[in-house]
Amino acid sequence: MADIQRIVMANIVKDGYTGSIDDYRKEGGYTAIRKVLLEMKPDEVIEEVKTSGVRGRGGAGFPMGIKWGFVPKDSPKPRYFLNNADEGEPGTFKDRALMTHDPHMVLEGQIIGSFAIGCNVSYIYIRGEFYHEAKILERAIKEAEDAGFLGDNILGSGFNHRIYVHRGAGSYVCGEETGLIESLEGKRGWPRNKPPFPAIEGAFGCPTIVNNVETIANVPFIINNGGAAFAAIGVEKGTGTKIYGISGHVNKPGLYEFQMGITLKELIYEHAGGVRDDKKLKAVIPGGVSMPVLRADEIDVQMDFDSLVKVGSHLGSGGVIVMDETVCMVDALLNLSVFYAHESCGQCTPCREGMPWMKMIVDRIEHGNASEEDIDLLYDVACNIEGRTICAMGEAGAWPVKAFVTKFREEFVEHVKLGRCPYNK
Amino acid sequence: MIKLTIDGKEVTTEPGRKLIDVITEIGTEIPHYCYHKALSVTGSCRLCMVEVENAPKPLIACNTIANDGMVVYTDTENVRKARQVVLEFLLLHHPLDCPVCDKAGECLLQDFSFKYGNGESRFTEPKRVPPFKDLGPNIMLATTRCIMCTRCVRFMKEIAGEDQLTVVDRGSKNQIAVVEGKKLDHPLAGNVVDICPVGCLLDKKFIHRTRVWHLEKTNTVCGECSAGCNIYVESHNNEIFRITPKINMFVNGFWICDYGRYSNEKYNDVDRLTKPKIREGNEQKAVTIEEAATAIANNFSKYMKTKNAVAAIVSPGSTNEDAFAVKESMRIACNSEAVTGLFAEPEIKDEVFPTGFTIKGDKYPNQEGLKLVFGLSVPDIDAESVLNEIESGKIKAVYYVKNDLKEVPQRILDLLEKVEFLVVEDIVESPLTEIANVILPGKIYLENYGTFINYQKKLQRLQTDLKAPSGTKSTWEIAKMIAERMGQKIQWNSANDLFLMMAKHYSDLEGLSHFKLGDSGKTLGVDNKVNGTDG
Amino acid sequence: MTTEFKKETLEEFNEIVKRYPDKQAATIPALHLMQRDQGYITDEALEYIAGLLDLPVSTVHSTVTYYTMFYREEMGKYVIQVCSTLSCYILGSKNIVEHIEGRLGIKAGETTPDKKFSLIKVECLGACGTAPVIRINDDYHEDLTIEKVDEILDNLK
Repeated sequence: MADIQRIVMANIVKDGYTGSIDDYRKEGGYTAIRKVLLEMKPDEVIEEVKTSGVRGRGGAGFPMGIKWGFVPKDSPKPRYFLNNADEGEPGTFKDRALMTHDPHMVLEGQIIGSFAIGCNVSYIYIRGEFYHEAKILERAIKEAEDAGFLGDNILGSGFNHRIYVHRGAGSYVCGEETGLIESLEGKRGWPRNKPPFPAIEGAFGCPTIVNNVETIANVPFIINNGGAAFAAIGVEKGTGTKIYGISGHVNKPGLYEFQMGITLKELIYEHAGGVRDDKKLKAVIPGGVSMPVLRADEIDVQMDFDSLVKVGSHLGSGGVIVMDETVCMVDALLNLSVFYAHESCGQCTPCREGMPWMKMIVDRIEHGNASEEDIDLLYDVACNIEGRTICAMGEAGAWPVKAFVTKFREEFVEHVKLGRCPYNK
Repeated sequence: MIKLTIDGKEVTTEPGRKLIDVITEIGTEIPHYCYHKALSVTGSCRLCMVEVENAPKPLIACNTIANDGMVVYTDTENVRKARQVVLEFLLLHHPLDCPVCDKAGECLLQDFSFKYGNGESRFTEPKRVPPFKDLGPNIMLATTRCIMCTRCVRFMKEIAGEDQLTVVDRGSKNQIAVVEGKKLDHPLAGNVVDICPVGCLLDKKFIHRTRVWHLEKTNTVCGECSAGCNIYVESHNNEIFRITPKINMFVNGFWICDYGRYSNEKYNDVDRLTKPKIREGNEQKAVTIEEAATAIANNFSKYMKTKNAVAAIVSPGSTNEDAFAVKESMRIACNSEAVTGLFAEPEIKDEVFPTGFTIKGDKYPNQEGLKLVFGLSVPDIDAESVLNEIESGKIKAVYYVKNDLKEVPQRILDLLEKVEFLVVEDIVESPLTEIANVILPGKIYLENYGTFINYQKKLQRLQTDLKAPSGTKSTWEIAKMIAERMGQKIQWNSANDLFLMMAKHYSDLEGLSHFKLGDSGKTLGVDNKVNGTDG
Repeated sequence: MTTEFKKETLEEFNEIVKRYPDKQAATIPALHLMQRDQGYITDEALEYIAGLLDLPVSTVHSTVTYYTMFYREEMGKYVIQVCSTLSCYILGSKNIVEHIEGRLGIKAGETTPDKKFSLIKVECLGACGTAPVIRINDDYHEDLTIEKVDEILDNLK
């Protein structure tokens, strides 16, 4: 078991696997739910998940079992379980695949999580663009209802549960859990101040758990095999496997699931086929664009939570973007700055004002209308946003700027000195 | 009670309170924009940062609950940096047009930038210049100055109870807006101008008329309904430029309605009476106030041999002091206890808003006061009986104190036409003055000293900085002149004197004085001797 | 153009409303239905939806303007959304935009005069492994080259 490499994509990679409920059950699907509903108490489920050590795969890496444990036991209010399928972090495309190719694994995890926190209605908040994925999920929900895994008195356990798919409508910030809750409630996706945390007061004023699709998809495995077995996979504080989504300048972009701890170098060169067209590697973003970029000489790093922190970055969502020597780092940062300026919800001051300002400065550097002080100004603005916003969007927009400027300062300086982009011949 | 330490000082307070309130109460300023005591917390301006021991980074004081044992610092390097950063961000796109901005001088963006800001801008990019927007009949949005604190949006939703304002678009394009084709025209809408911490929401009637530092502010009580909202009358060179709310948590909270806010306009728009007049045949001839008073005294003297042949009717827009002066001069000089207020049941319903703010249907500010002044000592003489006695001819002469712009009901006009000698004190010509034998130019409440009692039995003080039009007199002065001309010695020389007399006369007012009423008034029936227990 | 749901859509909407403990949560689903049926969302449609949900129009207005997927003006029959964020960008999304602009004779953000095509640049579509990517109406087209783009556009009638 400890050398297992695939959990959430285990079925998907099998030839002929369609993701139908029959296929899923043939692979042992919907056995965990039977065990949970007929043999376990909600607290035991939470304990098992805590034992597994599974941490959030959406970006923040918060331990799922601990989060579930925050839901007050004595609250008379209904509880809500929200499956965060907003998948908006650039570089990330894993949840879409799970929902498309193995929707029942996601549903089973979601039903179990809902049972654990005492929730009878849960939602999948899926980004609006994933129209077909939403339809696939709705079909899968129907299949699960017909098979008796959803609805009233599931498997005779007395537990009732319904899942609804809720499409977003185009907003990055709605991937932040309180932005998601506001959006679900029909409002602007303006994140809330914490406290209160959603586990205490979330959707519709009730205790709410928000988990990422991939995280949830791990739950059936944890129940079937035990939290300890899951914890034996991967590395300490980075248990289990992770889907790494590799995009950009590699020969074989795509999704790769491995135990936590595989090195970035191994991923790129042994699995993703190395850099395209025999070009030189320049930079890699290891966990979605908000996570600090690494230089080519920094990729001999294990892809788990703690190891990436040691090199000044984060695992994030595990979305790896590979950039070769043809990429202008100032131009790449400009692209990201445009993204953050566009996606800032505009609620709190530092992000609303800071993101567009950074974009303007990067734009001037890229187009040769800046001085070296502007590079420092850019860095300073990023520092000024960081830690001062309502939600983590502040960090999400500030970290790339700080990392690009720090790690590729010479390119920024070159732009300033030349008065133009050296890549723009 | 819990104890916490703020900048080294131990502070005791009740549990569950917001840190920002606890800190502000001990006199330490926490700069902030989005937070407002009366509104929900949004935590979006990010200015009210403080450091709390063991917290990994500065926290916003508006969304942090004061806990027992908390150690808080409000002036650390981190806090100063946080303020500087937020203020820099807020000023990036601000047009810095303070010289032509009506908020200048009372703008929190100015004040906090001056106190806590950086002093120089590092922003060299083109500024956003969204066009100004007309939001409604009285209010416009100087869009470029908006800092997106959303106080106005929350006010409309939470206090006014109607979401006339909202935020549209996203990110740096966020804007305050009314829905296409709709207007910001709620009767409480004017408050958004007051709570806008910057120069963004502007009162169209105030735009470019004066600088706020020229204004003299006097706190008084609104007279447009029986709610008795506390207001500031802000004037310069005897002209009212605006009326704004004065906070009184037991009456109006932080707000006033637009009827009160713009009430001065209707008095500005009319031709005020400034000269006393005496009827001679079909003509009304201008005279001096002394001549008028003498004429009144001479005529009243003719009837006073019969008790209650002279009567007075006082509008419930009058102050207690004026009503009392009329009553006293009638009693002393005219052998009459036939003095009454013209009480009226409100014709329209109260407008009550979600948090309880109320615009009363009773459009008189002092019915309660007149009930006290007239009701207690002469319970059997009410308005109806006075009117009946006019009808029956027992009452020969009437002194009618009006001083408002309300219409007199036709029934009363018809009755008063029968009176042999009618004295009308009013502010404009009207059907009532047409039938008067003597017309006296009076004052409006905005020009008066005295007290009103609101519908909650809250006794509150009126003050003024305004000079009434020359030729006008307070009712108490006129009442005194008449009585003196009828040979009586009158002791009062001010509204204050009258109040002290009333305090002796009415047990409800025992021990009170204008001074003791202070700025927040006194609820009658609550122990009068301990001042300020409820305000 | 009518601003109300047709009968079948109203039935769909009535089912959706039941999913939530608070009607307001059906705002975004209702807007999606409106846009699906009518192509874009008019002021009148907002009034209608606000009415269905017992909400002030301002609330729905605020929500609709926040989300980039809701159109407030008539769009082309085919709305071509070109992903422009990093993975797509470094694999040539700019060329794709320029190519389509040239082919359709419009700039990004515009609609062809015959109302057949609208072209917009969008942020990350979440399909980075198959970059560059475009989305036409609700359909993703991935692993694109200029030739493939032409083929796709040729097939749109």
